[in-house]
Amino acid sequence: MDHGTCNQSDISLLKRRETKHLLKVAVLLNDQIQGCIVRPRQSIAADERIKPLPYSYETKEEERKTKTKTKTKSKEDEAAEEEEERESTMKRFVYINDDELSQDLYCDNRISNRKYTLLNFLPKNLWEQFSRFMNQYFLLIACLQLWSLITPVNPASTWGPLIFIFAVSASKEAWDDYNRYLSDKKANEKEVWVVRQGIKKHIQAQDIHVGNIVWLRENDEVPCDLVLIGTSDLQGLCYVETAALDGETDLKTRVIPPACMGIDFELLHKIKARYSYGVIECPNPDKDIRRFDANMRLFPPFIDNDLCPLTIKNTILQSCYLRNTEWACGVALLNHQFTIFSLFSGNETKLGMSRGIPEPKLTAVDAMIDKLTGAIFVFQIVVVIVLGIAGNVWKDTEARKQWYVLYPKEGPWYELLVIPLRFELLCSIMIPISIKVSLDLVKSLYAKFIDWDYEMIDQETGTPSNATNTAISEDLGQVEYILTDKTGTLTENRMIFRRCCISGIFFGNESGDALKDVELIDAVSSGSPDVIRFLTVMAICNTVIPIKSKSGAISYKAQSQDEDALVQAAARLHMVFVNKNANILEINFNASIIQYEVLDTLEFTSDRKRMSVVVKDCQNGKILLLSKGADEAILPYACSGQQTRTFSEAVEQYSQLGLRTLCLAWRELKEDEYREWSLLFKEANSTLIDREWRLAEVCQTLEHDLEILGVAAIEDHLQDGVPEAIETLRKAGINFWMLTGDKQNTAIQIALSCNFISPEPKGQLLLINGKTEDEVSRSLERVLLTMRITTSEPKDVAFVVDGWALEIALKHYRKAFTELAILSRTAICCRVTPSQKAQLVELLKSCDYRTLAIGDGGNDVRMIQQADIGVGISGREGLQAARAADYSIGRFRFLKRLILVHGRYSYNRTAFLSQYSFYKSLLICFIQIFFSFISGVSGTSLFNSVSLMAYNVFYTSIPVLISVLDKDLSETTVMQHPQILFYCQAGRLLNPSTFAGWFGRSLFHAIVVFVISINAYAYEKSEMEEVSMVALSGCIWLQAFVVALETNSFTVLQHLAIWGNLAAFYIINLLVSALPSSGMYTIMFRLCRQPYYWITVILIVVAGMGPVLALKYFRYTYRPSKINILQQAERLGGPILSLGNIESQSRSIEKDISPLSITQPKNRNPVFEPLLSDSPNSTRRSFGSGTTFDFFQSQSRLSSIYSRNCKDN
Amino acid sequence: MGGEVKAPKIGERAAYSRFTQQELPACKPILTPGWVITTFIFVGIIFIPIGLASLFASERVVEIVYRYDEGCIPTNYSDQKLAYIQNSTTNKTCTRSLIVPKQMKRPVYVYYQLDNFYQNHRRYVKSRSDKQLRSNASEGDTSSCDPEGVAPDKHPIVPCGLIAWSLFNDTYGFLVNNEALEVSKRNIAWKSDQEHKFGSDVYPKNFQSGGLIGGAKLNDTIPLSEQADLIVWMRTAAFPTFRKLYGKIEMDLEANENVTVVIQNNYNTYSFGGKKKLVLSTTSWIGGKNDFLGVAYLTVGGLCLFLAISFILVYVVKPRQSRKKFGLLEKHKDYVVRAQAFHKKEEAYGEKAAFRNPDEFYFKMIKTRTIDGVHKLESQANKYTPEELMLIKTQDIGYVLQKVQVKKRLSGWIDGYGGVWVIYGREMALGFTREEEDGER
Repeated sequence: MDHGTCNQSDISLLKRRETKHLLKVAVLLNDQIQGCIVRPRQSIAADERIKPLPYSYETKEEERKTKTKTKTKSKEDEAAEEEEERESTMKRFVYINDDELSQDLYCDNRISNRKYTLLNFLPKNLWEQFSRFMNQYFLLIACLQLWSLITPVNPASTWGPLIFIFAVSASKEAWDDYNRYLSDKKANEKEVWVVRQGIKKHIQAQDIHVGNIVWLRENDEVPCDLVLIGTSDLQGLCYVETAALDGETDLKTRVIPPACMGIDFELLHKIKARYSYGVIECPNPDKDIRRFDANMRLFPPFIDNDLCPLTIKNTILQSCYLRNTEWACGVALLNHQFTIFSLFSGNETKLGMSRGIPEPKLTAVDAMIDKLTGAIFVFQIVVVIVLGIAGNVWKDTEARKQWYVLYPKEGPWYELLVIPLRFELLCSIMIPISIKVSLDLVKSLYAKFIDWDYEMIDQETGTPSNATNTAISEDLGQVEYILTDKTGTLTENRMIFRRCCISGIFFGNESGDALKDVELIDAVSSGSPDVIRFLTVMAICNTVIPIKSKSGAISYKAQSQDEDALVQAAARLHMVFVNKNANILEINFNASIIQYEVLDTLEFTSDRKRMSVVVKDCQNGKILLLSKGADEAILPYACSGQQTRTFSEAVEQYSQLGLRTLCLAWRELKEDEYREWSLLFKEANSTLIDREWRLAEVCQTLEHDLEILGVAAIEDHLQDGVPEAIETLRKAGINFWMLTGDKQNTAIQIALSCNFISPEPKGQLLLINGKTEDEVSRSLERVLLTMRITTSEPKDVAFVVDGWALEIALKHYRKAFTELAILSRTAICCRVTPSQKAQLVELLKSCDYRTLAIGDGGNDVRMIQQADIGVGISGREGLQAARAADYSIGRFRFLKRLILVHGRYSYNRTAFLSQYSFYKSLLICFIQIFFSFISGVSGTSLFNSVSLMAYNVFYTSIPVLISVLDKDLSETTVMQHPQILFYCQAGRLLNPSTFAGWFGRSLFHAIVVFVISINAYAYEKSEMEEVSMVALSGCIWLQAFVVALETNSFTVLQHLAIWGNLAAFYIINLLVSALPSSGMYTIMFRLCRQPYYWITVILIVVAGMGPVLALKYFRYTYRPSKINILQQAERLGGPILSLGNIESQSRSIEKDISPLSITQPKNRNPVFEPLLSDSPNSTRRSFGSGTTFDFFQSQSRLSSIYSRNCKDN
Repeated sequence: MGGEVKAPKIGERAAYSRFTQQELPACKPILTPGWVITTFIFVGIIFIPIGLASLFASERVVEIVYRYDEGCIPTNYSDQKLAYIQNSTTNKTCTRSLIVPKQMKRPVYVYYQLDNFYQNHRRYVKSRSDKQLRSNASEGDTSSCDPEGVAPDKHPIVPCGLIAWSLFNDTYGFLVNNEALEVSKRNIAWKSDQEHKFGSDVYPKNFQSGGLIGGAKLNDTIPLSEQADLIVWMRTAAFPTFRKLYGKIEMDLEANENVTVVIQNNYNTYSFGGKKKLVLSTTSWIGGKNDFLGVAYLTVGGLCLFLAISFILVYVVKPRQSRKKFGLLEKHKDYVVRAQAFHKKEEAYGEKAAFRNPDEFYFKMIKTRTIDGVHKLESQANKYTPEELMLIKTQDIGYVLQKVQVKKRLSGWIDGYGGVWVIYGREMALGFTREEEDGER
C-alpha cells in the first residue's frame, strides 16, 4: 500500500522545490508588471534579504530532478535563481488558490500515521525487534542450535519460544498499524468544500492541496492547517475549539488578517494567481502549536498590497473544530504537518514534538533486573568456561579410552570449541527467554489496574485515571521525592475574587469577601473615580470573551482563571463586560453602555508576568494603557510621584492569607506617543525571527510610569483531601518539594495549610534569599549550617528559596545547594520558571533519587518530562500536563492511592516475578550442569527438547503470571501504615541479596532433585527417559509449591493456575507419551503406574520444601519484617487491626514520633550512595543508622493500652 | 507509532468487576506456628511408615552380585588384560559357582551390571536412528549414526550407530546340581519398544562387518523386534553405573544352593577400567534392592518430626515477637478462653434479662415518670427536647440582637472606650464580654 506521498527524501526535495517556485513567482510577477502596477520583484527579494540565511544545497542530482519537474524556466533567470535558492530555503511560499501550481509542490493532504506497509512489515518489524539486546542473544543461541554437532536438544526448543514471542509482538504491532490505517482512511475520505477553478467543489480531505481555499461550516473539523481569509462574522472573527490539540475546552478566537478584512464573499473565490494574486510566506513546518510567524501579501485588485503579518491568531490548525461561526474559509497551508513528522518517528508529530521527545524511561527495577541478568550472564560464561575446560580434559584423558565412544584420533580445528559451545547452549536457558515478555505483560496489566480503578475516578468530572506509560508502574512504589506544582495541583484552580486594596483602602478585610463589602458597594454606587478605574481595568484588561446565551445571561470564556475571576467580580460590582465586537468592547456600567476600542493587546508571557491592553475610550477619544500583573512586574514601573508602599504592604498582607495578588495599573497615553510606539509594535509583530523577544522589548517601552490603581486578591481553594494525602505520603518517607510560580508568602501559607510544613514550634522555615551572589552564598551557608545542626533535633525543617536566589544558587553554588537538597525533606521554591523546575528535578535525579513530578499546567510540562515519573492532573488548565505525563489523575489526593497501592503492589509483584523467573531457569540449568558431571562432561542434556521448551514457556510461566494478583497486605492496612512503603523505596524486595536467596534456593532445589532422582532411579531403573521425566516432574512440583508458598493471598485464579498447571503438566505429558514417534513414548504411563515414582516425587517435594518452609517460618516468627508483622496483625486480628478507637490515638502518637523516627535522619551522609545496596541490612540513607523504623513502637504502646482494656473485662 | 496521544476519555469507565478492582475474594494463609508445626508432624507421621515399608521391601529382595571381570582373566594374562580380551582366539569361558544366601522366589532376574560405562555420553547417546529401527523403508536414514552409519562399502548399517555397535556380548549359562537352568529372554524388553520402536520387518544388515568390531553380532535372520538383548541395550542408561536385564530364571532357588555360572567373558571393559558384574535378584513392589528411598524417607520424616518438636520447644520458650508483650501466659488460647467466658456471660445475662420478673422491684419503678406515654427517668424528665433547645437558642439570638441594639445606642460612649466598634461582628462579641463583666459587677 502506498502511504502518503511524503517520506523523508520527499521533504528535502520539497525544500528545493520551494526555491524553484520562488522563481515561478518571479515569472508570474513579470506577467503582472506588464499588465499592471505592482512593485517589481526585486522588492520581494529585498524583503527576503533582510535576513539572509546561510544555507545552500549542492546536490546536483536532486537539482536535476527538480529541474525536470518545473515546467517553465527561462535561462536568464538561472543565476538569480541560484542566488535566491540560498536565501530562501527556510521558508516556503504558498500561492493562494493556484490550481496547477500547487499540484506537485507540496504533499497532498493524505494523512498517514502508518509505520509499515505490507511489503516492509516483516523486515522492518524484525529489525526493530532485533535491536533489543536480549533478542539478539536469543537469536545467536537459536542459530548456534542449528549446528547439530553442538546442539544438546532439538533446535525447536529455542526456536519455538523465540518465534512465538516474536509472533506475539509482531501481531500486536500489525494490529495497531491496521487500526491506524483505518482511522487514517476515515480522515482521508472525509468530504470538504474546496474552491477549484473558481467554483466550490466537494472533494475528499486527502485531495486538498497547499494553497487551496477550504470552506468550513459550523462544527466542522478542520481538515488541515489553514490561514483564515474570511468568516461569516463581519468583524472577521471566528471561534475554534482546540480540545484535540491542547485539551483546552474553552473557545479561542481567531481573526482574519487585516489585509483580508472586508473582502467580498464572492471575491474570495477569485483570489487566484493569474489576475489577482496572493502569496503567503511562512517558515517551514515546525512543531510549535502556539507560534506561527508568517506574512501574507495580496496583490490587486486588493488595494493594500503591503506585507501583512500573520500570527497564530490568524490560523486554524488541523483537528480543531469551528464553533459559533456560520462559516469560515481559509487557505490550506502546511498540509497535514502533523503527519509529515510522523513519518520520521512516532514522537515527531507536531503534538509529539510540542511535548518534547520523552526518552524511554527505565525503572529502577528494570535497571536492577538488567544488572542481575548481566550477573547471571557472567556466571553462565564462567560455568561454560569451567565446564568446557573440564570437558576437554576429560575427553582427552578418559573418553579416548572409552572405545565405544569411538573418538576420532584427529578432530577438526574447532574441536576444542565444541564442548564449550555445547555447554553454552545447555546453559543458555539460565537467562529466561520469557522474562521480558512476561514483564511486559504484567506491566500492561498494572497499567490497566490503574485505568480501571474506581476509587481513582474523579466523581465531579468523571475523569478516570490513566496510565499513558505502561512500563514504569514499579517506580511509583520507589518514589522518594515528590515535586509538586501549587496552583491547580494542590489547589482547585477555581479562582474567586476575595479582597482588594484600592488606592490605600482595604476592602473585604472583615467579611473576607470584597463583593459583600458594603463600603465597596457604596463606593461603586457613589462613583468614586479610583474605584471606577479599578473596575474598568478589571473588566477590560483581559482576553476574555463574553458569550451571550439566548436567555440573555452572559457567560465568559477565559483562558486564565484569574481573568475569569476578575471579570466576574467586576460584573458583580455592576461593571458588566457585555460584548466584544471585534475591537470594540462594550461595558455596561450602571445601565449605561461604555464603549472602548482595543488598539493593541500586549499579551501575557511568563517572562513579562504582566499583560496590558491599549484601549481608546470611544466617548472622549483618550488612549489608555491598562496593565495588570504580578507585583514585581508592575510596582517598579509606577510613575515617579506615586507611593507604592501601601500596595506592597497590601500584597504582603494578602499573600500572608494565602491569596493570589494582582496589581492593576493604568496610564493615559498621548496620541503621538502611541502612534510612534504603534509603528514599532507593528514592526516587531511582523518579524519572523525572535518575534516574542522583540515584542517583549517593545512592550517594555510602553509599560512605564504607570499609575497604580490597586491590588486585587484572589482566593484559590485547596483541593479535597490534599492535607491528608500529603501527610500520609510524608509518613511513607516521601519528601515533598513545592515548586510554584507564586509569591513566597502565598506559597508558605498554602504549604502550612496542606501539612507541607509544620507551624513554628515543631517546624522551622529557613529562607534563602538575596539578590547578589554574595548574599545568596551567605544565606545558603547559614541555612546549611542550621540544617546540619537541626537534623539531629526532632524538627521539621524546610527551606524556602525564590527564583532569583535559586538561579544564582544553581549557577554558582551547585554543590552546596545539592547538599541542602539532600539534607532537607521539604522545600518550597517560589517564583520559579518552568525551566528551573526542570533543573531542580534534574538536580535531585543527579543525586540518584527517584523523583515524581506532579503538575497540571503547561508550565509543569518540562518538569513532568524530566522526572522519573510524571503525573499530570487533568484539571482546568487543560490537558497539556496530563498529555505529557506518564500518569494522569483527576485529583491530587489520588496520588496517595497511586503510590501506596498501585506503585507498591507493582513493585512487589515485579520483584517476585522477575526473581522467580531466574529461579526456575537456574533450577533446571543446575540440574543439567550436575548431570553433565556424570555423563562424562560431554554436554548431554538430561531433558528432551519438548520438556525444555514447555518448561519455560508453559509449565512455569502461567502460575507466576497469575501471581500479579497477589496482595501481601490489604489496601487499608497499607493506607494506615504508609511507612511500609519503605521496603519498596529502599528496594528491599529486589536486590542482589534477595536474589542471592533465590539463587541459593534454586541451587538447593537442583541438588535435591538431582540427588534423589539419581539414587532412587539407580541400577536397573537407570533409564534415561524415565530419569529425565522424574527429574522434570520434581522441578515442576517444587516450583508449584514455591509459588504457593510465596503467594500471600489465594484467589480462585491462583489456585486454578498453580494446581491446574500441575495437572496440565501431567495431561500434556501423557498426551505426548501416547505418540509413538515422540522420544518419550509410554514413559509417562509407565511412571504414573509405579507407586515408586509417586513416592519419589513426594520425597523431592518434602525434602525441597521442608527447609524452605522451616526457614521462612522461623524468619516470619522470630525475625519478622515489618510487612510480616502487619500481615500477622491484619489476618490474626491482632491489636493493630482493631483500629476503631485506636486510629485517633495512633495519629497523635505518630505525630510526636514522626519527626524522630522516619522523617529526621540522624546522620545522613550527604555523599550519594547507590540506592540499592548489596547487603540485606542496607538502609536507605535517609534512615540514619541510629534511627529505628519506629512506628511499631507506637503500636506496642497502643497494644499495652489494649491489653489493659482486655484485662479489665 | 503515529502521533496518536491517548487522551483520557472523560466518562469512559471500565466495567466494574472484582477483578478489575483487584478485590477478588482471597484466602490469605499465614505461617502460624500451629499450622507449620502440624504440617511437619503430619509429614513426619506419614513419612516414617512409608520409609519403613520401602526399607522392608528392599530388605526382602535377595540379591547375588558377583564381579567377574577381574576373576575371569587367566593368571597368565593378568598383566595384559586388554590383549587377552581383544584376542579372538583365547578361551574366554570362565566357570564360577555362587551360593544362594536365601531362598529366591521365581522369577529370578539375571542382570549384568557395568560400571564406569558412559552410555549417557553425548557422542554415544545420539548415535542412533530411531527411524531406521522402526521401519524397513528408512533403512538409509543413518545421518545421525556417525561414525557407525555406513559400512566401508557405503551400504547403510542396520542397526546403525554406536549404541547398537557396542552391544554387550557376554553370555551366561547357569547350572544347578549339574542341571542347566533355562534363562528366558521373553519379556525382558519393553513391550512398547518391541511393538512400536523396533520394526518386525527390519533385519540386521552389514552389522559388525566393517573394520572395527564392537560388541555382539546379530543374527541376520531375526527381525529387530525379536532381538531382545539389542532392545534392552538400546534403552540407554542415564548413569555410568547401570544394570541391564539379561534374562529371567523361572524357577525358585533354594537357600544354600550352589549355582554354577558359565560366563563367556567377551566384552571389553578393561581398556577403560570398567567393572562387570553378574546380578541375580528377586523383585518387590519397589523393584530391585535399593535402600535409598527407605532411608531417605526415614531421614526426612525424622527430620520433620525433629523440626516440629524443636519448633514447639522454641515456641514455648520464646514466644513470637508480636505476642511477647502479652507475657509468657498470654497465648492465643488464653485469649480464646477469656473471650469464650465473656460471651458465655453475655449469653447468661441475656437469658437472665429475658426471664426477668416484671414485678420485681427495681429503682426505676419509683424514679420514672410517664411523659407522653414514654417512661423517663425523673432526672431526665425535666430535660428539654431537642426542639425545645432549638427554640430556646433562637430566643437567645433575639436576646443578643436586642442587647446589640442597646449597645449601638450607647455606641458613642463605647467608641471612645473600645475604638473597634465599626464591625458588627466584633461588637457582638465584645457586647457579650461587657455583659458578663457587668454581671460580675
